[in-house]
Amino acid sequence: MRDVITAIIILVLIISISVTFYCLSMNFCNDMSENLLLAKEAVEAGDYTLAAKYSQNCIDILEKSNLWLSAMANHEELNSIKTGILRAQQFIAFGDDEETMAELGEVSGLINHFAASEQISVENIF
Amino acid sequence: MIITFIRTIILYLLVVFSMRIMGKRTIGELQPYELVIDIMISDLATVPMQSTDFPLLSGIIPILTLITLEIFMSYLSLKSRKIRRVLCGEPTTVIKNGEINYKNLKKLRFAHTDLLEELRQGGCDDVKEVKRAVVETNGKLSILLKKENSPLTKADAIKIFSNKDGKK
Repeated sequence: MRDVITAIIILVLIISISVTFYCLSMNFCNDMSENLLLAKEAVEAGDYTLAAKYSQNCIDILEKSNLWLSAMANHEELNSIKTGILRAQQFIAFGDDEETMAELGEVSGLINHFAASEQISVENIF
Repeated sequence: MIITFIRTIILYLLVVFSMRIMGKRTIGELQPYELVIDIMISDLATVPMQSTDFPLLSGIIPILTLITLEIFMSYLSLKSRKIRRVLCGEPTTVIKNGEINYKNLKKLRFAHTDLLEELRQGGCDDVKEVKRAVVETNGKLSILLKKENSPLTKADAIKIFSNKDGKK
């Protein structure tokens, strides 16, 4: 009976960790997507200061979520997101419109992919 | 490198913990589903151990889930005979009164030569000497020899000597 109680505790722990991580990752993806969208709009409007601010927001969100994110997500995927934003920041600093938009688009794609792979769906299960 | 080292220690401790929970049985004594879980746990632990790209939790969560499932299954099979039958199967008689049951042997996909080999390993040279041979749920063959072929026990010896003394 002691083993069964241990198993129940472990199971509850696993479920709560999974649910917490799911909620955290969804919030992370929403925040990131929002800031990336705002950065894109700022670049389109030619406001590079604002674009730099939003891209910095993305880096801040990433840094803040780093602890739990690296415990959950594939590290290669996270590295791609981070280098993508850093590259976009450099393009913003040099005022390169096309490269900035391409880079921000790529990071948005990675974020969307991350969110999609965390969704509880039949496709993901199978 | 140091990351791999630390990860290996963590996963090693987890695997030891899981094996400890699984019980004290050796591989030969494991039920089929327990053996499957053992293999899966060892395989799951190696992936995040080798590759630092995978988060540690991607190994820990499935291992812990398997352990809990194993505990629940063991508990349920202990409580219900039906569940035990589904999970572990039932012992199958392959020899009865010196006669091989080929139908059961075929069901188990057990070759005639394998059976003879198992009998020899069990210290029996002739099928006719066997009263009953059963393939247990863990795959081991239990052999029960006929009374005239079974070794002398203390009870037999007492019986023989008491009879002798009685005659005197």
